[in-house]
Amino acid sequence: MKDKEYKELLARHGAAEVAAHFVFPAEKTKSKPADDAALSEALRARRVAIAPDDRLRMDLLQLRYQIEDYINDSRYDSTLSFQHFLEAYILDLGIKRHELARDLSIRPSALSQYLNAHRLPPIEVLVRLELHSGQIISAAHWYQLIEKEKIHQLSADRKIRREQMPYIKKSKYRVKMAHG
Amino acid sequence: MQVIDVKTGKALTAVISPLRADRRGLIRRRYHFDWSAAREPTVYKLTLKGSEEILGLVSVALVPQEERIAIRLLAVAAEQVGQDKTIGHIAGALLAYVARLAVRQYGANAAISLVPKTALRKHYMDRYGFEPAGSSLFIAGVDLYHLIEKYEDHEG
Repeated sequence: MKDKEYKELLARHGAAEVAAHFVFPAEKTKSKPADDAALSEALRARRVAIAPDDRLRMDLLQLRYQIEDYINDSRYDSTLSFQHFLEAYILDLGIKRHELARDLSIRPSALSQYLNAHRLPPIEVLVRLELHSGQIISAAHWYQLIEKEKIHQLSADRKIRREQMPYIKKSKYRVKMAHG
Repeated sequence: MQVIDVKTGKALTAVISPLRADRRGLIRRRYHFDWSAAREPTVYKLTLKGSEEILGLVSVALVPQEERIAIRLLAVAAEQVGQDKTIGHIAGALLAYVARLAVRQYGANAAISLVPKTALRKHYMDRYGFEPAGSSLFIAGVDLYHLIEKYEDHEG
């Protein structure tokens, strides 16, 4: 946008309205090293002053957004499992596994089974996780991670399709089974 | 994110997603800037859920060494500026989306920034809660969450 167009917008709508709808490219003269240093210093000072509770809240929000983006992504990624995010949750809290088990009133061995994908947590535990996170990460978030994994397994399971094929006595469609 | 139907005051669900590079040359007239200069995947478009019509665009650059996202350009569609607009909060929803990207990327240390035109500086601060630092403005930490919360779609 040329400066002339910017001035026309300003004259037509006023500064408040223009600021409410636009961010313009930085003017070249404005990018001075001293200005960059002022921003770096302001951010540094702000970060040092973050209260521990606020830091934890923001780190849990980061985890929630990562979970939401993965849930909403149509692609499946075996590394982004329920177990992966539960491990990340424990890391964000800065506690040991047995401490989380104690906080949730579950046995440490049960938590280990959830983390090692040997067992899936019941919905009661998902709700306890929600309450434990101050409702930042909901039971629905955790449930959707498990559900995404299950849907992928169901879609990719050829063996069960071969096993079930003999039970189909008549089909309206001629479907060829994939081998593999 | 959500925007507002100006006539009814009703919240509408907005979808924000990356703008395909091959669409960037077509839209200067309605969206004010040359968006083809921005490189993928740093341009995001806002549409209403179920609609293809682009209501606003934002171009950003990651500054990983400072754990911040710099807002390079932002524009609302020409017909959505001024008294005749039908949809409100488009720019706010785009800024909140960038705030969410920053928190997703950098957690508690996240920040967003822009370099304002002098005449607009105070208005960004008043309207969106930016703070001054040299010639830049920024929002950091929990204030990012307040911005996100204001424009988040609570209907899901």
